[in-house]
Amino acid sequence: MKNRVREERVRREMSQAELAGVLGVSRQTVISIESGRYLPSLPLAFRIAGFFELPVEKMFDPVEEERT
Amino acid sequence: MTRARHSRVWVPLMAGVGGTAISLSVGFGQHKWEAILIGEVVTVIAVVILFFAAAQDSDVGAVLGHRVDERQELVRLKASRVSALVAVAGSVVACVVAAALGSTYWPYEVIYVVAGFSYLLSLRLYGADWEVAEPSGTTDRAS
Repeated sequence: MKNRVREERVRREMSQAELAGVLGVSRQTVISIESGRYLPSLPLAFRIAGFFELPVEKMFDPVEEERT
Repeated sequence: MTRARHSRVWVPLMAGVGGTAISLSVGFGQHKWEAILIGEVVTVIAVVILFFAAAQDSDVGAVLGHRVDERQELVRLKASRVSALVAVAGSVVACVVAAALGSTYWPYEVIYVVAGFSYLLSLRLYGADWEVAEPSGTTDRAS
């Protein structure tokens, strides 16, 4: 699933470690989410969207997965 | 911080206790006193490696240090499942071989029987329903 986590993180000039600290997950998990290797749980997805002040459907795009 | 420090100690501590128990049982039971020394040396090395590995900023370090997030917990569960399957399969094979060779095979039976019952118990414990769900209302029928 395509997501905008990396794009929004870079826009705010945050490191992966800093974002991980804010979200309460490991840096490796942030890396996995950004690369699309891991799909976050619903609570984590809402936390991510809430932190970046974007709707969940704007942060995570399921259309990419359905096409493939 | 104190809780995190203690969680890092847990896996090495269990390894140390287990390794020492094995060394002592082999040494005293088999009267192989050198086994105690060798076993304890290996145990100490394993404990030290695990202790420092648990401090690493990695997925493996997080699992060993009991500080997993949701993704690492999922990885840990999958790895635990694979190791359990391999252990049970190994015990079945060992049981078959030991029985065929006329050797003692009941310890291997204990492993896979206990594993089987604990699996069923775990299904119940974690919410698996044994009852067959009845179709509810007319929405389940084709209209």
